[in-house]
Amino acid sequence: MSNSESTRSSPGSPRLRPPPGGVVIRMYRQGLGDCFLLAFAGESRSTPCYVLVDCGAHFAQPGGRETMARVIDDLIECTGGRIDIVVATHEHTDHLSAFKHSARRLLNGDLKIGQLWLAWTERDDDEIARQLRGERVNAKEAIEAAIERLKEGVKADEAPSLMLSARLAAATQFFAIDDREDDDTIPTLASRLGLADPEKVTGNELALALLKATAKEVRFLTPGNVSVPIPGSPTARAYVLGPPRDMSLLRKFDPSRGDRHETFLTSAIGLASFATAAVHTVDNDLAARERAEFCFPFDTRLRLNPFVETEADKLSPEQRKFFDQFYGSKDAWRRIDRDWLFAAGELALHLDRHTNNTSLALAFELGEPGEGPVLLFPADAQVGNWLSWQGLTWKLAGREIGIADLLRRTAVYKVGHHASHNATLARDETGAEYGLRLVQDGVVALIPVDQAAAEKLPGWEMPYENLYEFLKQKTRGNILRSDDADRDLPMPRIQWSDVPGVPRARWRRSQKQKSEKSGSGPLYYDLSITPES
Amino acid sequence: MSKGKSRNNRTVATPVSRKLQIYAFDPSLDLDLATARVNQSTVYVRWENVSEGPVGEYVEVVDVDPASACAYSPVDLNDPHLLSQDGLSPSEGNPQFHQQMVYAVAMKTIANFEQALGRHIHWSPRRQDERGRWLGPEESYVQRLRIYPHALRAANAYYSPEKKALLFGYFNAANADPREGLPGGMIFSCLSHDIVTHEMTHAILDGIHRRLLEPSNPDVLAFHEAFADLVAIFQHFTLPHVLEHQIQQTRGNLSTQNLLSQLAAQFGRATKHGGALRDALGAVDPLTGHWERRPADPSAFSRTFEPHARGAILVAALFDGFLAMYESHTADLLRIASGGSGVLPDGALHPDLVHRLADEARRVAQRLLRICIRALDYLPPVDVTFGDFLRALITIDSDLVPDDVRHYRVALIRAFRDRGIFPRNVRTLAVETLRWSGPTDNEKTLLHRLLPLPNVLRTIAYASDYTSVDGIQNVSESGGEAAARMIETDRMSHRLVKHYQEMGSIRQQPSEDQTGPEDVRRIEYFNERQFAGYLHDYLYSKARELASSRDEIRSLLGVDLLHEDLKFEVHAVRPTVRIYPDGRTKTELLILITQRETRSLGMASATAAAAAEADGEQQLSYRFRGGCTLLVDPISGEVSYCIVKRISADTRPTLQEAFLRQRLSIEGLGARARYHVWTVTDGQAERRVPQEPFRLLHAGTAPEEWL
Repeated sequence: MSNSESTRSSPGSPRLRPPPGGVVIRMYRQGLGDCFLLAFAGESRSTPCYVLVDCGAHFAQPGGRETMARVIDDLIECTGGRIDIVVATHEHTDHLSAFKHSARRLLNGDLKIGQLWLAWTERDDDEIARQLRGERVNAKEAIEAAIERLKEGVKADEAPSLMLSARLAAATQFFAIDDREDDDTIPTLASRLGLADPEKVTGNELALALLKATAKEVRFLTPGNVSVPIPGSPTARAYVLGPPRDMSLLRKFDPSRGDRHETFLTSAIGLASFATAAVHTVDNDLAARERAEFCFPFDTRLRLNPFVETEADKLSPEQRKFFDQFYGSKDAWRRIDRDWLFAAGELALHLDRHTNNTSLALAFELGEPGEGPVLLFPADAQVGNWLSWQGLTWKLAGREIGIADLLRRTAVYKVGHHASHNATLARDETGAEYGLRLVQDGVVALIPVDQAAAEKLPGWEMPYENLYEFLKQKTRGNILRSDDADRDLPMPRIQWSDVPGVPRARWRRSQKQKSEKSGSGPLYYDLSITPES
Repeated sequence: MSKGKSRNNRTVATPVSRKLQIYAFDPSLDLDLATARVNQSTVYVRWENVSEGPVGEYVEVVDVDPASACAYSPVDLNDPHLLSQDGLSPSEGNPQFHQQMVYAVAMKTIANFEQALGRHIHWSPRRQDERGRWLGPEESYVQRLRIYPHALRAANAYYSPEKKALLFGYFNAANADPREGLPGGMIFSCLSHDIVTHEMTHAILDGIHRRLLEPSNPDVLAFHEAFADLVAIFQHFTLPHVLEHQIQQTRGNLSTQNLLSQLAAQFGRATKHGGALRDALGAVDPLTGHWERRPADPSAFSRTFEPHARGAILVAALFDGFLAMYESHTADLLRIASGGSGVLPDGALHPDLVHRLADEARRVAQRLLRICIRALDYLPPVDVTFGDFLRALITIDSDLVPDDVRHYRVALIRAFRDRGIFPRNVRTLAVETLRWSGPTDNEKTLLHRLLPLPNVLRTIAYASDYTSVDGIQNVSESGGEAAARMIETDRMSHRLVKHYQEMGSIRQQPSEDQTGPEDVRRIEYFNERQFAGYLHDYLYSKARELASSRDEIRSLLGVDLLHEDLKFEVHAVRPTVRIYPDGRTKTELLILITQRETRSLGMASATAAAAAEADGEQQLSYRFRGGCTLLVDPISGEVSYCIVKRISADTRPTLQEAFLRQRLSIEGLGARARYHVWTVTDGQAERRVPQEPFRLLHAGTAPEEWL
């Protein structure tokens, strides 16, 4: 079988080579975090086309950074130091962190990048994209300011109450402050890359800037009628599914039945007024001051300030007595000075989902247009993003290809958002079968997850049990999970072997280990797919 | 109005009520010509001594706004100018009106509860301070609930059991469509009648049933939410003019879209598309934009777990029950008005008919609200389910109205059944099986030997009856007969006397000017604690005398009074007053006994177990509770109901553990405080960290709907 021939790693050449006309997907096993290297068959056997989809580990992933350093080494080794396309799906640490941590290797050319693919939401010249990013920046500032003020409060309080510290911990958990973990290197790098305001640059912004600076070409992708040929691979193409340009879908995170509950990052949560109060800067800009004023519930004349000495004189003796009695040192346990700041926790959660929904969702197709197997890579797309694919059709080689067709031919599904509850859709808004329910049985699922690490995060049930059970049926047990936590799943061997019950699919695990610790498990899994000839 | 004047010059009787203006719903209805007329409403609030704030006997409104770094001057409702014009008129831009409105709505809600229960309501005590220290009776007593009308800059409002306070938020509206409200305009949750009533009910409920904050099954928190919504909805029917207006609008058919069944319209529109925050009847279809009646879906109950959504199923069931009763009450009126056909002619309804229909609706709503509140006294003390609530409703209704001529109870059972809500372990859904059963003769004999003598119980039942609540008269016989068998009463009064000597100052004579139940509530609180202590000792000594019947007692009360390790607690001892339709009342004594056991939950999942093994022995533990609610007739000393959740049951812990594991796996271990689950490392339990159970639930709300 030519297949086995082609996927046998020839000694001396660590290069990752796909079978003719096919693909090898290398799934790295860092845990909570995405990193997939796809090697598509190229013009000739010796020149595969390498596509890297994301490269990062979540801050809550133990040993994540160490594993990612090994991943980068392996990437350089198996691609010969050149990746044709890097896809940065969205601005989250668990998808980008390794770029930032390996900045040196990108900058000195150890790892070269041909094209960089980004979602249209990263464009600077797009009005909607700018608006979305503006919302995110505002939210981020507000959250950081609120958390800062809460921390000050805890510090100022000599013996902080249990409740305050516990709630602070809960609120900060939602907000990946890991962005700031290597504070000292970020500004240096940022100024080297010529970014404005280097002190304020976050790790994710830095990662994107690095990629933009080192890639030969940057492409912004918008879902539409045109499929994207993969440069260097005559037999594969990509369909852009999301993120949608429909604002209401971008803001839809959770499945709903009938009762549409859109949550607006900017307003429902009261961000505008919350942010103004939390950030609390004295702005000389008149327009900003006017906006801030609009966030106060009442006219200036009605505001009293019994808590500041200088202002307290303006109070009548009765008023002063009232606030002394009911909001003074007596019964201090009933005061609510900081309670409003805890909204930062919810805001962080919304911000997180908002960002997930800007995921660049791709479907790769092998072989003839409209016929070959499809690899579905939705990144962390949430409900609204999935729903938006419904209207998409592509005209290719005289055929009309719709989303249902792509889903039906899906042979590999990179499970969205570490298999959380709201990043895989199975029915559409009318209750009709859609998404995963259209995918044929026998698909192979890839789940980048570490259940134990996810359990430490609030609201992260990963994998989400119902979904996982359904996936097990759909895949007939052919799931590659990066945490190996499910003993029922087949474990690929070091040698290539057939995926049970799936024709033309083979897999193996690496001999290389995740870390120096022996028994830390393989660094990656490889899955090879060949289309019918 | 100064105190001195009124004291020296009392020629006019103290008023019964204070008239205050409020928004009947919320400010948004003011902008609609059809509803503006009825949206400003004047309510009658029980007269009490109110100082600036307003600060009264039950609540204190403290208007500080930390996000804006300011405070707003407290309103003085006794200002003659305000007294003469029913308080401030509704206005969004006047914080003093906001204070007045939260006060008025809060007091109205309290009055509804007190009328139905026949006793004063108490706030849940502050049992621990912020550092986890346990507090004694004096420190733990919370006289007033605090209300902060402008506490948060967020689309949120909640009851904080920690601070014994209601926190209301304000925010800029999200409306993109100016027809739904001013885009970016300021929305105040404290100006929504429904939101204030909802949060108020949480606080009252917590005072009545502290354990309802311990989610031992999916219904517990949902019950809290459902009850809060129910009170808000049924309170709509007490607002003057609103009901008539809506009857005219719907031409008497309240099962079509109407304001009465909706909750928090402005808040809903400002945060999402498609109408009110919640609606007991239906919803606006997002695709068509039209309101549609939501059909009963019996399977929804088995797959909805988010507390508000699950609670909405109970609310919908009760609203269905309400509609069935209303229709049965008004069918004759419609026939009379339509010449026998029952089909009303086109055009506006005759105002007289509107009034009559409104009367019926009000009466049915009032009755339903009352039995709902009364049913709280017929719930088991722990691990409450919707099924228990149905059984409590049926029991109280059967007791009050023995012959169910209009088949109310059947209507209720059907409404629950249609939504898939069944009690566990009942064989049929007949009224007689659902009704809590009284003890058998053997059990009665045992209880008789276990409980104190009737005249002791009577003393307890009437001891706190210093004043009567709003026109409810209690049967008058009280202390007199306590002469016989003085030993027990002596023992008990000894406790009380000793207690009051220690307390020293608290038992003051109510001053002449005080018409409210001020000190009475405080005394009730201390008395209850003393009576509970007395009963605990009594039960324990009796159980030892009856040691041979230990097993029977355990199966009867659901708690093991003689257990070596597990202490039992007399959780509450309070009078409860039944009011019959003919106006008669009957006081009963309510005794709640509970016991708890700390059990191991094991690990949330296999992987967590593996991880924990690596970094030291760590286990999860939870509290399993059992107990009983005893309703005792203080005249005969007979127990009429003994409602039990057994601590020795086999199935309950299994169910609770499955539920807790499921929730933790969805919400993460960080949510363990909400579920009262704690880690135990090397035998050392982590410190219990209080938190805010009613703040928005962060995540894990939608998963159940996945497939």
